[in-house]
Amino acid sequence: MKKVIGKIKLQIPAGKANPAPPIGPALGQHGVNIMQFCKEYNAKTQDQAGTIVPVEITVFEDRSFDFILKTPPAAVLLLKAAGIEKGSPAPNKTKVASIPRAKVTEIAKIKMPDLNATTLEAAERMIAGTARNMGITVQE
Amino acid sequence: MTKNPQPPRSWLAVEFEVGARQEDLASSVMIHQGARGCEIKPLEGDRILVHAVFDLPEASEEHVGDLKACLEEYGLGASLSSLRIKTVVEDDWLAQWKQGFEPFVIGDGLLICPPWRRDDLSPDAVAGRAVILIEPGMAFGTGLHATTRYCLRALQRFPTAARVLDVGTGSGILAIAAAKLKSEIAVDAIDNDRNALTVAQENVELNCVDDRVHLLLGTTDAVLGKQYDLLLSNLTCEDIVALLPHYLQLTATGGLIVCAGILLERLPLLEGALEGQPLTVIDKEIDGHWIGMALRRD
Repeated sequence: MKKVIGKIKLQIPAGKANPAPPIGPALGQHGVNIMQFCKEYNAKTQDQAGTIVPVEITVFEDRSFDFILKTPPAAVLLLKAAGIEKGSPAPNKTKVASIPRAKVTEIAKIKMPDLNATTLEAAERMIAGTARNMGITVQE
Repeated sequence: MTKNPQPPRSWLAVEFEVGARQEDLASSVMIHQGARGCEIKPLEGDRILVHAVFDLPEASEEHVGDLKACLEEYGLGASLSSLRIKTVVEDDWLAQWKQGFEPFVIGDGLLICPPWRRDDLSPDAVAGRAVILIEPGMAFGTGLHATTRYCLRALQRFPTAARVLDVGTGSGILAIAAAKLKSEIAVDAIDNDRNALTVAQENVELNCVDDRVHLLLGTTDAVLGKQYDLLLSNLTCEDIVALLPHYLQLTATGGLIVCAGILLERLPLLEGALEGQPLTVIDKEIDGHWIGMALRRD
């Protein structure tokens, strides 16, 4: 097994990776072939263009790399579910949208692999918390 | 195209600390505010550093004010005490990787070499092959990737045509190889990335084929109306499918379209798009999870 020399976590738009920051400096310091990463990331995320696809890159001692794609941020999924472009500028006072509880469950299921939650209920609470922070009401 | 040295580019970076649970929210807020991406760095305990990069050369008070307001609005006000603004200046981020970039051969006819190793090449190593000097730079195409290797092999395997179009030329490697493999060839190489084209221009000059490789900034729209005997397309599957109608117009009857950059899992998408089109698959090669294909225009 190859020795791991670094882990890099990026939140970047699907299908649009290029060597400019934050990708270039983050990968370059580990001696990774930046262009190869960009090519592979873009090919694998092109069908999700328009959203954010987080990626976790593992760099090995021979400067080869491997990466896994994560689920899009909950905030992005919530905006999509609510059919709005941005959250509330004052979430405590102004609510900008509402979504049914079933949507929160749906998003929690999508996000479950990447959330630090042991049960679906715990994941739902985290998603509902993010929704609150964005001024999105959850209909019970 | 004349060489026009440009000052190094710079970007604005905004950094702040949040709890690990707020990673998603914090990074989406930054991206919504125009960040081109975020790097997430772990800190001690359950804390992370969000490093968001913006396509701006410097911070304006208005922009920083907007970002701060936005963080507060989304319940991330506690992170403001750790907020720092930095400038990231363009650098040779490939420097470390380049140290391991050795010359290598592709098929019987091509040898790819970084410019700093050309004096080390012995006649035995070259063995009659065309030598392509590639300064990797920040553009796609070093010859190391499976998809580029397929295109370079295809250039040697199929009789080289007179008029060649390289779509998404990147470093210019395919256009240069086509020109070096046959002296009567004229190549149009297009790319919609101005920075890639700068790298390609340097490589074209380095390989002394600037009289036969014409670089153009733009998409296939820039050459519509012309006809080519060979079209090289090392792009993603989705790009190839989207450009297929143009490829049909640009490729002469009997000509070839060489496609690479297709992930195995996306092949059905391309196969669906090819159905009913006047194209015959004459070669298909799988290398890892990538597929290369050569199509003849019927």
